[in-house]
Amino acid sequence: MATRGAQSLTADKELFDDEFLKKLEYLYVVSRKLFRGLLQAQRRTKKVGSGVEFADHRTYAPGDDMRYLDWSVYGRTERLLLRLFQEEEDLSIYVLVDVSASMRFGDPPKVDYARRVAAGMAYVGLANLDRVGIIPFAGTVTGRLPPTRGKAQIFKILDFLRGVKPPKTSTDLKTVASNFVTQNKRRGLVIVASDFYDHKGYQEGLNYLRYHKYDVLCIHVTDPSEATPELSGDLELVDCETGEARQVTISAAILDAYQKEYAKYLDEVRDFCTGHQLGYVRAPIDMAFDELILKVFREGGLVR
Amino acid sequence: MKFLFLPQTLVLYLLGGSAALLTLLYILKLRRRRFEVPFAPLWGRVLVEKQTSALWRKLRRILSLLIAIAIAALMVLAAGDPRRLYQGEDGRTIVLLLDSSASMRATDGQRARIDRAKEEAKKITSDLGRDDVAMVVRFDSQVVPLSPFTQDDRLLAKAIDELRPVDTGAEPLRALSFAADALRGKPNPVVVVISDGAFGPPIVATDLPALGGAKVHYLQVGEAGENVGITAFNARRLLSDRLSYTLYIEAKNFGKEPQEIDLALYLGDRPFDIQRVLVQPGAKVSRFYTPDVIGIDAGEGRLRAQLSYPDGRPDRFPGDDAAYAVIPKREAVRVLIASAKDNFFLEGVLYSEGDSLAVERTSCAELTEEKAKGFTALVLDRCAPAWAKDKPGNFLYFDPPDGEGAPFARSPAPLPLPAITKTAKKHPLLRWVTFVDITIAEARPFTGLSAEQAIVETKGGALVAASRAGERRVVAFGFDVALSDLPLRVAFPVMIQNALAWFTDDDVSYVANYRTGETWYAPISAEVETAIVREPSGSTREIPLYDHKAVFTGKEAGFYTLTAGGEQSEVAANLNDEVESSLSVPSEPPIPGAVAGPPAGGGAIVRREIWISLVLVAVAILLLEWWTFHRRVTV
Repeated sequence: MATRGAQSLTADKELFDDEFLKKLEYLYVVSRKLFRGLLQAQRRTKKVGSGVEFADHRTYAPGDDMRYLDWSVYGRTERLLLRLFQEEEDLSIYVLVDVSASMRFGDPPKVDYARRVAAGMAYVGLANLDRVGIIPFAGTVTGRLPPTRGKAQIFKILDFLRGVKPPKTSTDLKTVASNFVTQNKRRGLVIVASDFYDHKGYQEGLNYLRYHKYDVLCIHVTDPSEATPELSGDLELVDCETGEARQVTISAAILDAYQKEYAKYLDEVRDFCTGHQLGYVRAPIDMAFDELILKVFREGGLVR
Repeated sequence: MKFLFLPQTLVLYLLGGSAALLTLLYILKLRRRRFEVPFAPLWGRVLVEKQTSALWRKLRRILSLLIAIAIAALMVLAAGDPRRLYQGEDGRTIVLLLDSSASMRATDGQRARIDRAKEEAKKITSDLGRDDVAMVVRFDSQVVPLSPFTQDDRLLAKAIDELRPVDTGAEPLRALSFAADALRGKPNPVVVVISDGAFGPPIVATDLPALGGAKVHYLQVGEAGENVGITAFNARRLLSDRLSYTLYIEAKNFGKEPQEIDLALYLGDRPFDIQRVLVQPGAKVSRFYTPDVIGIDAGEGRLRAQLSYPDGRPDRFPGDDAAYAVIPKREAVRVLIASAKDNFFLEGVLYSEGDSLAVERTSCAELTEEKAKGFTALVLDRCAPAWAKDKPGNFLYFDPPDGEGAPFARSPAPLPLPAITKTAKKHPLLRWVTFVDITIAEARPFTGLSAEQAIVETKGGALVAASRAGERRVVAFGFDVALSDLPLRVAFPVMIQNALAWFTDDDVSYVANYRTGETWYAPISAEVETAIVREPSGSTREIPLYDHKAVFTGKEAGFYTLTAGGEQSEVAANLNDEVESSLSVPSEPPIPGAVAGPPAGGGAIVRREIWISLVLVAVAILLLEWWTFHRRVTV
């Protein structure tokens, strides 16, 4: 398949058409089946609260609820300790959608695919009473839909995603992560849907999120045709984000080498994520978005 | 190698130019195609590794340049349509002489001889050998090559197709001389003559030009048969009455059977006589028409004689069935005689001309310029008015006195009994005149004349002088005719008539009626250097004038119109060639030493058009380059 260069974005009406909405509903049904019985377990936080699961002990202080005294410990140690339980809390899901210039490549454009995946993940999250926020980014955060809850908010999310206008700027994941962390104090799950074409390196940005206690799931959006561009002869290759131009003479050997380098780059991203306890899913755009999301669930991408 | 479609120099320029242009395009930093990529650093990783192959890239670019130049060169060469020059020892150099004389129009059955000749010629040109070259030449009264030496049978066929017979006889010896010149130094020369053999007197071997060992082949076309044709048609002005004409027509039966013919004469479109005549085989029949019979007066114009068969059957050779003549407009010439005293000899001659001359008389004393207006010619007998000197007009002087008006300088002293030393026999003044044994008692010759002006010379000058300058014509006698026996001679009135005819450009001989194929000298009075001639077919051309004569050759029978200086005149031309009209065909080749029949064919069918191969090679290279380009072997 030829690399055709930056494509026009899918028309707003077609991006989230009726077919897409049907698939969303299907995803919700499937996700409930998959996650029934796990809901409470999934929504755990380290926060101590009035949940049913024992979390920790603390010394009894006058005034505490005596129902939670751990008598077995007292029998053994003659110390009055209060049992603490984990707080049952809803999950905040942040979907960072890469809308940089490189995401305009592909057929359909990777950014459209990323938006569909973001919408799908958001719907499942909303349907499971999680808070979902959408943050498009490129060189910096270009917009923000604050976390919202409720299944009915999906349309708001869809409208927001439709209205995203990708700027023709380069990707800077580190700056984005820094801005995101600043704007969103509440920890949660960060889903990064991107092609990870970051001239400054995607690693620092992902690490930044990890360092700030976010659970990160990388959805690596790829276009298989980028591996086999139909180029030949004397060309001037121009980076779509930086404008950097390079005069090259493309031959069969160079194309073979590029194909290998491309595969190597994808593996590098995967290896980094898996090596740093970051969730990773490769999302080729020729895979239906709903299949991808189900794959994410089946592979336990949301579960550590 | 020779190029048929483009000149060789142009081919060389195109080769050099295309190579230079392609090299320039390769050298110039061409704008590369811009291609956006999503992530250039990936390419950067790849290309760094490939820097070592830069030299090979340069070599591949040079290879691409050389391929492009090769393709361009092949296409340029193909466009020039190169042909192998005849070089082989076994190849022949053939000159095809095609008879295009009048008799080739004759039909044998349904086919004209010329068509048969063309067919035979094409058989030869389409069967040339690999190394043969041929040239097509037409011959009639002239020899004209219709093609260069070439192997291109299409070119030769085209030349043959364009051949048209003309209304003239054939000059085979001239054609053979041309062939000899063309074949000189060429290997294996061959001459092929395709003709009906109507060549006139038999050609003997000693008549032949040196053909340098060339083999001569003769192809006979045509069959003998019956024909009656007009062999003479003349209109002649009467000497006694310049305004009247007589006609003479002659026809001959060239066949072996008696033939009955209708002979019609037309004046313009009006027939004025038709006679049915039985002509015996080999015999001629002639008719002579006098003015009272035909009633031709001055100013009638075109005459046409037409021969036909009473039973309406078509003639095998219609080219000799019509003949043409022109009678130009004639008007009576007004002459004014001015005499110092009565000159009965002179007046007698002039008054005896009849209606063709309108003569008036005056004396020298009464002669004035005003009085002389309107006269065609002024006869000045022993007077030379000063106003007449250098004046445009026609002046005939007899013994002019010295003075301002003298036409020429004269010897101061009289010369008794001058002997005639030289005469300009070709001058119109002396037509039919033998100016010898004229006794002149005394003369004062004209002096200081040029050779053209001295008509009758004696020691010390000219007895009779004539000059022409622009619109002024002068004839002068340097003696008193009364003191000579000239008036008693026939020469005197004839000279007077000649002078008047010269003044008015009136040829006293046969009215202009020329024979096709010969060089004509048609008189033109206008003071110009060229004239336009319109031929019977309607085509026009410019011809030069020499000494007031339009010099040209016509190959069509019919009427020719000459236009010069605003004046227009007509002449007629006829075939009048018994050899052509006879339609006889020789039983053996009329050229000594010629072999009857065509030369052997070239045999090999070899494509001679190299350009096709060049194009195929260029296409093959192009396809190879296209394949290597897509395989990314070349760039």
